[in-house]
Amino acid sequence: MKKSIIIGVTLFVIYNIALYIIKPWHQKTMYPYWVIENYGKAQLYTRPDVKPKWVLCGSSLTAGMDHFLPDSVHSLAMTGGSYFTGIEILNQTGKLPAVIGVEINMFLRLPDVYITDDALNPVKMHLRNYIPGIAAYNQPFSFLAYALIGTKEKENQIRFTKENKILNPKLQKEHIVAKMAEYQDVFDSATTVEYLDYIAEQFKSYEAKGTQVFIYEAPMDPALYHSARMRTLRAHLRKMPFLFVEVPLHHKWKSVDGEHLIPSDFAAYAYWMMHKVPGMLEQHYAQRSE
Amino acid sequence: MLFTTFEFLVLLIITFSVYYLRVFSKAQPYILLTSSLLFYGWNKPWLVVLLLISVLLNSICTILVARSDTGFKRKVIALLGVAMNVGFLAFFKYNKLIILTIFDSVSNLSPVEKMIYYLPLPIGISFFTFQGISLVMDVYRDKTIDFEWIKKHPLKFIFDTGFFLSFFPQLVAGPIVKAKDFYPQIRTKSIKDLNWQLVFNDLVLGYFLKMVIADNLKEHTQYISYPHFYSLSSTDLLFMVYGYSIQMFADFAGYSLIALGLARIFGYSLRENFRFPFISITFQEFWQRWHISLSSWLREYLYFSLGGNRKGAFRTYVNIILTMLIGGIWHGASWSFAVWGLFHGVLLAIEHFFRNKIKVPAHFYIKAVRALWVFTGFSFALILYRMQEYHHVFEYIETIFTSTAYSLDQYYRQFNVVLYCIPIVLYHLLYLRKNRLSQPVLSQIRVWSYGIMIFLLVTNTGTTGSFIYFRF
Repeated sequence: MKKSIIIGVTLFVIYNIALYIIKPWHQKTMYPYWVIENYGKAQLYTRPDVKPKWVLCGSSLTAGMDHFLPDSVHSLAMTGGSYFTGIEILNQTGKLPAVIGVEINMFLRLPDVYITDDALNPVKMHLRNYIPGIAAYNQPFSFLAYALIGTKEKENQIRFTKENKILNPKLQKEHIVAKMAEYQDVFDSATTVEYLDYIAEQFKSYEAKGTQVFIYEAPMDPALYHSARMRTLRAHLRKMPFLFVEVPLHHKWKSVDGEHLIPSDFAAYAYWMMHKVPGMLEQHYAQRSE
Repeated sequence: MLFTTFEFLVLLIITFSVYYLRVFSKAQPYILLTSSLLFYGWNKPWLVVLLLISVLLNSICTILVARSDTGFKRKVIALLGVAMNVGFLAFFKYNKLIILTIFDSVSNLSPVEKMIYYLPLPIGISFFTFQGISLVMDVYRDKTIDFEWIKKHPLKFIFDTGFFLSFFPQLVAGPIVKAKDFYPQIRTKSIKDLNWQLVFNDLVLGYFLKMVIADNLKEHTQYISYPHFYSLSSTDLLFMVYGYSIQMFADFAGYSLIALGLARIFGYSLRENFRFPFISITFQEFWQRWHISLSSWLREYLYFSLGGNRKGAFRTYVNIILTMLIGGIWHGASWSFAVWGLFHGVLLAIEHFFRNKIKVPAHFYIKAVRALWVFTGFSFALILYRMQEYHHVFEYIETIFTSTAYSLDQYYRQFNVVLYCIPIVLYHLLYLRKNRLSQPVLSQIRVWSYGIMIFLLVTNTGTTGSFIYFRF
């Protein structure tokens, strides 16, 4: 028993020293699955040495772009969650980047308290900084898989070449039909206004600290884009005093299941956002200052 | 309360600290009883009331059996006790299944029927009702529990029964403890008698299986669901079937080992629940290695009561199938569990039929193929656990052979499934090879394995999830 404990502790110490030297969190890693990815992204943002220029808050509709975003962008997009989790992390850490983008497709989803409790717990936060081996973004099996299976770029290449096989007409149809029923349901007007007021309040506080903000709608299947829910929501967002980035060429995006784009379209949208939005932001803030 | 939570750790430390104080040595069972009730009612206090009702009814029934002077009277009371436990289980666990089978739709139900339909499933009810049956039956069959003692100390017996049914290490997901094994152990314990090495082994391996293997695998196998499986490739679907099997083992064997370790901390010895099931070369052997406490319970209290193999070949097959069918339904309130049990029952009956008719050579490769067959059969039957609609199960199996899809991150996912299955494969292989390895080598492997497990427990756990068997 004693020998095993000594071996376990020694391995842990060596692993932490190795992490200190290599600092793998400064490069994008492959997470084993989305739940660990959510925890990892949230925990990573609380590190003092992680200082991105941009932060994107959103759902899996943004998380799908993570692979294709430059290293200067930190994604707080949570699969199965929404922008709320990201906003909560930004507020609690008080660490604001130069630009914050908020994806509003999953508009009424509340913050994931499991993730915020874990990432923002002050004791855990400090422990992770000094003992990086306990962080979700430093799991040894993730590094092992990353080393043996390959890099993000390799995975992307495979994704693109096999894209026609990702599209499954039967699944796509079933999903879109099911989602259409859901998307016909328009959010309650009072609740929508309440949520928009909350977002506006947060955005004003960010802007007061010198951060530029924008709202964007992630591309989806054209059928869902034209749904009553999205049309109503869009109408509300257009009235807000912040930059609202609408979906470009909304009829051209292909999705796997109605909501999530195929990899090449995720890549295309990430590319478009990184090249077009800075200009839009510049123009928007110039107009507002006039 | 979960074994993997902070609250549980606090409860465990407090209980342990008080339990071995000399001033409380006479009150040890009551200390564990109090902690067990706290453990059980932590999130839903009303559950404690239900458990106490079960304790009271089982105690009264058992005392009456012990006090009965005629065989007939004892038999009637024992049967009533069994019926009471079965009724309890049927009311709280099979309420939905029974109502839906009779009425076909929830909308046509009367308010009372609706209230019964929406009763939540009390966690662990399948386990403590089976233990209740074992108590009544063991006393009825006069197995090691002292009749005279029960007659003389009815109040103490009620408390002991409360302790037996609620003992927190095994309360919510087993192993199912038989009364005749547990009651003789109820006595004052001393900390000097603790075997810390065994406690350490059980707890480290148990938590490793649950938190590192099962909790990580569960995120990969979650796609065994309709219609998501359509988007996956054949190899992905196949990997998930085997991965789910390993996950189920890691989850449940992990829980059982934690239960064994925790019981040991308080001086109680529970029977092992899993003994390397995936090396089995027949389904009969598999059920002697998988969920042993349930298999032996079913054999002792159901199969033997039905007549076992004493009433001719035909009745033997019927008894085997019926026992497994009931064992299947015990797992969940859905007909798919019955089909799952029936599947295993039929396979066991077929094996029984051919047992003495065909001699299979005991060659290593033939044994390996047979073990793979048993593992495959078990794994595919487990799809019924994930999808309760039969046509979805068949479509899943069909898709394994017909899918031309490429799943996103498929190589990465498959690699991860294999990665988390490797420790389980090594665990079984080491058991098979242990006689060929020298004692020092085996000891070194053990020391390093436990060291690595401790390291991975700190660095590589999955997201906390409740144990799969909690819902049974």
